[in-house]
Amino acid sequence: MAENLYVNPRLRATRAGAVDATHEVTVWIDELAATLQSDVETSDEAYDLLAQRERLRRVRPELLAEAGGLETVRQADQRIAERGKELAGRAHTVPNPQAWLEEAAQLEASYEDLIEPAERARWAARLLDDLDDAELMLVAAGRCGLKDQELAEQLDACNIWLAEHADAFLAASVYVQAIGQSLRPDLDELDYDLAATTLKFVDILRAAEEAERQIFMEEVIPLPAHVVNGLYERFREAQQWTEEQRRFVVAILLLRESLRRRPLGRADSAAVPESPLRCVWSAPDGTAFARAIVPAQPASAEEEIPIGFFRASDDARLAEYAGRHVRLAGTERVIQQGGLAHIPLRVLMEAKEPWRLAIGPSWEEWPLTSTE
Amino acid sequence: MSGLQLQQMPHPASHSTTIQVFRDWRHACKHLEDHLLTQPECLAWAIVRPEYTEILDPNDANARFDYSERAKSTGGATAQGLYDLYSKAIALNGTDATKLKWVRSEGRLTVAVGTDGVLMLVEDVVKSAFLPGQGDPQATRESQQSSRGRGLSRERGMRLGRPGRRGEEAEWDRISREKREAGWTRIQKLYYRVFRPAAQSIRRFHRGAYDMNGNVVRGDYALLKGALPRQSQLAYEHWIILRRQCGREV
Repeated sequence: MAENLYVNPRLRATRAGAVDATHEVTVWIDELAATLQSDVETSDEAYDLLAQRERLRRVRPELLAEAGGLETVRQADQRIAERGKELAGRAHTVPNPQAWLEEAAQLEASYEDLIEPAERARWAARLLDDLDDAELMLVAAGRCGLKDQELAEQLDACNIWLAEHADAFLAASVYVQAIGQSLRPDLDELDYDLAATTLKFVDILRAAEEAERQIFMEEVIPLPAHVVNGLYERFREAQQWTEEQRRFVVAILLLRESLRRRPLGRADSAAVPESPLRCVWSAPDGTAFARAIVPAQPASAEEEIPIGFFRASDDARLAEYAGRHVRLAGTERVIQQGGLAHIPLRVLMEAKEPWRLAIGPSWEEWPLTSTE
Repeated sequence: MSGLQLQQMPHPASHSTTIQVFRDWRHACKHLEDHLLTQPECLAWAIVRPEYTEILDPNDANARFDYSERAKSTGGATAQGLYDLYSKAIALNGTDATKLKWVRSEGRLTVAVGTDGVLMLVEDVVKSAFLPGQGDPQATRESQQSSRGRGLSRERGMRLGRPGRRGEEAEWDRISREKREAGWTRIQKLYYRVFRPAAQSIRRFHRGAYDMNGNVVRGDYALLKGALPRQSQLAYEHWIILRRQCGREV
């Protein structure tokens, strides 16, 4: 079976059943019925009658019958048979392809504006209808023996623009999918001129498929789980390192400020930290942590800063850590009785990298997890 | 500071509940500007409520522009007349919608349309009300960026007419239209110029309901999809019967 150009089952809205071709056909029938309820005297009415009737000629016959359009179509055919050439002559004065091109360019530019998506979708759908009406009227007028090469060329220019800017009409993608589902798949064998009016829909359907492929990365082959996990781990490490650097910089700045202000005392004491700086390092498995408390106003850079080691579950001091070696900012110390080690403030202040504790004998690294 | 007295009306989906016509004067004035003071919709409103022309001339673009500006600078006080006729039309159409079941609700949102063609969006208050099919919103926005002299209008696009070939035909159209409409009653004008375009527009509203992937982006107006009778049951003579059922002027 030949592929149906007008239906793309890969498109999401089509797959999800959000496309209602029958309803669109009922709308078209109702529009034609409304036109027939007038005496079709003005150019606009003539234009509508020819375009609306021609649109229903493209529809799958079973869908037209299901939507109750046969009687309306019969009445339209009768009216056109009686007055076709006169109506066509009048309808030819309506379309202004240049104005359509200008409006289409505005639609394309509107993607940079804050317009409600629903409004843009309706705008795109109406612009498509406008171009479609003009083309359909031209085909209908041709059936009545009225050819218009100049208008045909102008409409070709509109179609070329549309083909080159099909993305601009993606807001109306669901409508275009509904139109596609309403079309006879054998249209090109049945009526070449009429089939030519549907090429713009084929262009938009292709653009929609391409857009969905890009948006949902459908062409990207998923990476193996172990690669993804490895990348995620690296991402987390990098994120943690950045966070440590931030904390380190903040802490260093606070320490330097404390020392700089100390001799000045009260003069600009508002800028001096009022509370001590607390630094916390956490064991990777979360079972333990270390805490250093730097006084708000240290006596000097030589002041020894105590670092305590604690169990995470109950904040009890880890006396069993006594005798283990600890390294911080390039300086190594031994943990004393009571789970306490001392590091000179100068060492911390002269560090070039975030403070990371390393605990012997395995030299497991504990990142700086908070400063406050 | 509001100088506008806001009106109440029955909720179209629950007639025992009373709702306010717009949340505050700013919302009311914004809708007056967008709909009653913008061409061509203003002309349709003058058919729906003929007393419109006693307040201002809908054909006078400068008068409409000035009315809108004055309304904004007086907290809506100077727009009371236009707001009152607007509210009256909304209330009458809300009642039509209740009687004809031209109303749909989803959650706290209700959409309804009446036999004048006034479409309304209701939550705890009336949030919007307009005559669909009287120009597109994009053109409205652009027209409002203009100043006095251009007025508020919205006409453009493929149907602007073919340069060099439209003049004589436009004159023919004008004469045909005038000849036909000369014999129309106000009610016929209301049907052909206001209600029917509104009904046709409502039938197309669902086209804005989805994004390109079929996700609903704005389902409110699309709720009315299928609520109205088919056009073959909504010709002028059918519409007159429906108007009578609603106790409306025919």
